[in-house]
Amino acid sequence: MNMSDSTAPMTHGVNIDAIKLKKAPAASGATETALTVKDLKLFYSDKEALKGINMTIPKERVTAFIGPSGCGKSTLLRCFNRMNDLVDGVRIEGQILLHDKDIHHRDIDIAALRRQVGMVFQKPNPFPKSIYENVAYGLRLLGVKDRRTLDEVVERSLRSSALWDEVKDRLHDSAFGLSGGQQQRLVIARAIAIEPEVLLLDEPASALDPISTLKIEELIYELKSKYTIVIVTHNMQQAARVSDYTAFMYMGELIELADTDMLFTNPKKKQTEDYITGRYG
Amino acid sequence: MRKWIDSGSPWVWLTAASVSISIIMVVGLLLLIAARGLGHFWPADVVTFEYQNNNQIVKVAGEIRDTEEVPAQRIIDSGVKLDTNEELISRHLIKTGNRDLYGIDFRWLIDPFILTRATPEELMVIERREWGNFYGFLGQVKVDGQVIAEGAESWDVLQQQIEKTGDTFSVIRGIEHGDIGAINYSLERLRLKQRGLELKGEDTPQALGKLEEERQSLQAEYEGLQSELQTHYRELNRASLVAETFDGKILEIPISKTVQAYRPNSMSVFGKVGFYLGKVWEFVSDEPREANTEGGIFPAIFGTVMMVIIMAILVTPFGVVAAIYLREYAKQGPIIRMVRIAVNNLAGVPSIVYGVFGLGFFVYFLGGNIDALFFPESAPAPTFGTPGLLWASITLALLTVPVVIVATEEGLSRIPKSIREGSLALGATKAETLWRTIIPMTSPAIMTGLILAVARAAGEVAPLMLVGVVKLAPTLPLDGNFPFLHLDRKFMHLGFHIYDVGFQSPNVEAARPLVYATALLLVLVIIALNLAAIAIRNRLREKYKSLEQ
Repeated sequence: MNMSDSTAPMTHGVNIDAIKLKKAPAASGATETALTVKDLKLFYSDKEALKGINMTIPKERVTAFIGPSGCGKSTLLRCFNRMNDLVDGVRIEGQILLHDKDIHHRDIDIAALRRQVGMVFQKPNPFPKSIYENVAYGLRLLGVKDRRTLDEVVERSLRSSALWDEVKDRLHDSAFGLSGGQQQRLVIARAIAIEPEVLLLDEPASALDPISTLKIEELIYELKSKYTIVIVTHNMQQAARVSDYTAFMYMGELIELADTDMLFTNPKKKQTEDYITGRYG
Repeated sequence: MRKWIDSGSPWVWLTAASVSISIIMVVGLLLLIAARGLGHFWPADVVTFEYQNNNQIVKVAGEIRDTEEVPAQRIIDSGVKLDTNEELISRHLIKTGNRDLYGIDFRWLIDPFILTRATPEELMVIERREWGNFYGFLGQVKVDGQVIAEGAESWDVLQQQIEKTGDTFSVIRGIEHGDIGAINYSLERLRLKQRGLELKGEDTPQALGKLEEERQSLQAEYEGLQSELQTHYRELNRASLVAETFDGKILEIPISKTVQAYRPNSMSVFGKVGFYLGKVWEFVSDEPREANTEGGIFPAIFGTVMMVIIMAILVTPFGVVAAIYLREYAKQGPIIRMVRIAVNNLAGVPSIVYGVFGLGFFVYFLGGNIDALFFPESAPAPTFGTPGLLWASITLALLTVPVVIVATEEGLSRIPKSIREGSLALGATKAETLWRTIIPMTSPAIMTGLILAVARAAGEVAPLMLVGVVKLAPTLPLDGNFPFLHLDRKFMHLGFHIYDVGFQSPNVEAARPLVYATALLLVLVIIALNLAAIAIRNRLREKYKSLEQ
């Protein structure tokens, strides 16, 4: 783990000081790898949903997964923080490496993994608590009680998700009072409050109106300097707008993963071309 | 016609009709209970009759309690010489009181035989501590055998005397139940302490001496109170009144045996309303007298509420934890399905079976073992090895736990998956997700289960008769003596009170209105408990209302 180099206190495998003080963004340049997927197969009972995926997710870049419904892109995304563990009858083969360690290894603490790999879902899912408590949820789980630390992190997270100005006067009101778009940004703030390395976004804008969608896209653009972002989307324009790399999936297989501009302008595979030109319907 | 059926209107009518019938029946039942029960406390006029009974003229005075129409033939068949062409004859049930003189205090009068009736203003009713009501005219008031008032002014003197006696009574009650009760309780504890020391073989003369010293001081205190009591009692027994019944019998009644005297025939409407409210207040705040047929039912209200609260405290965590296991942790499969069916069926087991189980398992087995382990000093008298409040509450908790489990499971299954995933994705474990998010969101459903459980438990009687309810409890389960809440005590309960007053009472006619009044009160208590729970639930619902999209 790169964080363990520092002498800062560790709690549950998470560097509290890094959360408090905000680690400096890594120098850009040559792209490092955040996640490596090796020969990943996933079965729902007997049905093979992912058929041997091999890919790397570059660090501090936005990678988009596109493909028709049921192609396995959300399933793949949910493998990265082991959300599929919650589904009965799922069997996984192959490896996903994060810091050279297989996340399915039995020594891995799932809770710690999910703190490193945050996730935002399709429908906004704030907890029935105040806005403040929603953002502070992850920190409270880590046992942070200090009021000042909480206040700082809540403010910083809400600023990062461009929500601070809209909610700063009603931090202690119920999160349900927010609009759908605001709720989704709140959920993003909640996810980045615990400083994950990877942020998984599962169709984050599909339940939102166009203006809210735009705000989420701007936010993704902002966040990619600090986080590795993987986004699943149905919307190819969105993928083209926000992502650096795009992966096209079809029938549980990774067809093509390339630089976004490349993939959309000059796809190498026939299937990709058919899909982006709309021939799949 | 076919079109009408297809239009769905008959369906609307059918559903509406079933709702209406339910409402009519419930409202009708409540109205019946309320009218019969609340009417009892109204100071009815006392009527005097001259009544022809087998060619003799009898004088009767009393309140008309009931009037009914009976076929003339039935009265003739019963041996009464009645010459009439009417089909139906009305007859009146008169509460004549004066049980010490006549042996009975209700009698039927057949309307055609009533010669005259009147409502004399100075006819009075005396509510007594024994023998029921007295109806008659006041003659004299005596103190120490000397007549101090006679004729017209004696009424006011009587009222003063009764008031004075009432004050003395409350002083005596305070001493007997408060101070002497506390001393007796301490003496009992000393005795148990000594016995405990003896059992452990630590009864050194030193320790015993110390106990004896404490006992002496308590004894001295007790004697002081006892002599104080005696003066009060002497004071109490000084005054008496002399009264004459309508048919001319003279009776001397000690004032200490009276609760109050009133003249309903001369009361204004406001006077009657005031009297009525006083009686209702007495009913809800006082203790029962005369084998539960007079006085109030406060201990029963208290016992009911206490038991329900303890039951709720026991059943909620138990039911919630069980539901969480069933829904969240257990692997869903045929076994869990069977467990769930069994839990649901548990709600259908006759409640008396729970009573028998409670008696056998909780009272005799658990209670007996607790006594053997922790209270050897009070043996052979049982402490927990006898029916009591704790066992009654636990038995009812067992009876109602399926309701809480089912409601909680229902609530848990309604929490959207996205909330769980959201929490887990932030690095929460399953337990943290449950505690921080899921259970708070389920709390309205838990409260719904609790409401159903409370309604069921408060109305239950049969099992309680085996595990802790008694006809008359000498002390409340909550008092000023350490440890304040006495879970081992027996208690009174409104539901059992209804059964006892209605079916076990020596004086059924006098007790009948009390059955209605008690039933009404039980309904009110349940409504009050439910409203409290509903208020809490609505607050929780408002707080945790989930995203409804």
